[in-house]
Amino acid sequence: MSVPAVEPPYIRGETWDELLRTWEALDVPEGWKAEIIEGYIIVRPAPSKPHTYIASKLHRRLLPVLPEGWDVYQNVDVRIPLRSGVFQPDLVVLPEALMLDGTPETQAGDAALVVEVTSRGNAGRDRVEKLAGYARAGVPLYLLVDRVASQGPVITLFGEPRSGVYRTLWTGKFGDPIPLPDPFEHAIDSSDFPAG
Amino acid sequence: MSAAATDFPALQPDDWPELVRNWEELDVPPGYRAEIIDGKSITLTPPPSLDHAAIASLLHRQLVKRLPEEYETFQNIGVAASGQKRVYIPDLVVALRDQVCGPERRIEADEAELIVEITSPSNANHDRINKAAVYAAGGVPLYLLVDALGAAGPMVTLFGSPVSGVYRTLASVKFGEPVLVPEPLGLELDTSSFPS
Repeated sequence: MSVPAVEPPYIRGETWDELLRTWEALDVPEGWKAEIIEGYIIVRPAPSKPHTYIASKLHRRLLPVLPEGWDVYQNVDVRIPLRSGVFQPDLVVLPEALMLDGTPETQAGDAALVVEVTSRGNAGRDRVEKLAGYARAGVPLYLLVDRVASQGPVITLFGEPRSGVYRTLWTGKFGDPIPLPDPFEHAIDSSDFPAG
Repeated sequence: MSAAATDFPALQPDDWPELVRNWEELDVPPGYRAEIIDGKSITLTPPPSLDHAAIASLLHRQLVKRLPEEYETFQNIGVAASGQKRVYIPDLVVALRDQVCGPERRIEADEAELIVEITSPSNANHDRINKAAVYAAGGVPLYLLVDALGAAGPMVTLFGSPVSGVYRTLASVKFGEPVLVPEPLGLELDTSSFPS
């Protein structure tokens, strides 16, 4: 079992609720996003065009391989209370029924798959804090499309979260088909992903 | 410790002005600090602990009493190292009174005479390494680090004489011992009441 070296500043109870309320009330600049990452509120600009291009291609390629009753969404904030987090993944696969359940919030733990595409400026968080957060939430699959990795773009599929730590299921380069396991059971084309 | 420990992003003049403008205009929730720590996004930090606030207040009072008349002491003003795409809000800033004026919320790093940072559990390494490198490279003559969390026990370290982005250690004392701050500020700081 892996325990983080420093526990996040807010884990549960009163201060988590206060942080959530502050995040909800925040007046975010036009087009920007606000996430909570390990107890801090991070306000960042809209992603770049190549980033958006990749997310959109993945969105389209996931649609035909979704299990019955699930859909893929953008712009959904998912909560990870145990890691003091509210993330907005580039893509998230959730049960359709959840979107109609009448509650305003979504728990990361209900997702079947989350996808993050890196850009300069958020790569570190996607690789470290979000990796830890999604694993802690028990999201079965985390697809990290790292456009800005120093050794060249790399795609990593993480899965089988145990005690807040993922196993690396597969890594590949842009151009390699991404082998999504159960419940998708399909390889996703990455040959048109722009680098850097 | 060297500046190489910190990664300064390549200058992209097109996004820095927009980022700083958003920082200036952000409606910051009461008690939170808004900083640009990665050159790409704004990080909002929740209010620190009471121990943290107590140390800041003790130092503030001493500085007000002991500084030469032409200096002013601030909590909650921004310090920008524009060349490094950082804007921090240090725990305390000492500057010549006539340098601190105008409608904006920040001064440039080389307009500060002394900066004080007090470590918190979630950001101690950031204060010790990243901020020290930025302040040194930005030309801040004196950097006082109040660190209750280091391996050597609660310590106060005064850094100065920055050369090529690296400070020299001028003094390093345990809580309880005095710290001599050299000219032109020319005063002694008392650390005997610091909670640890």
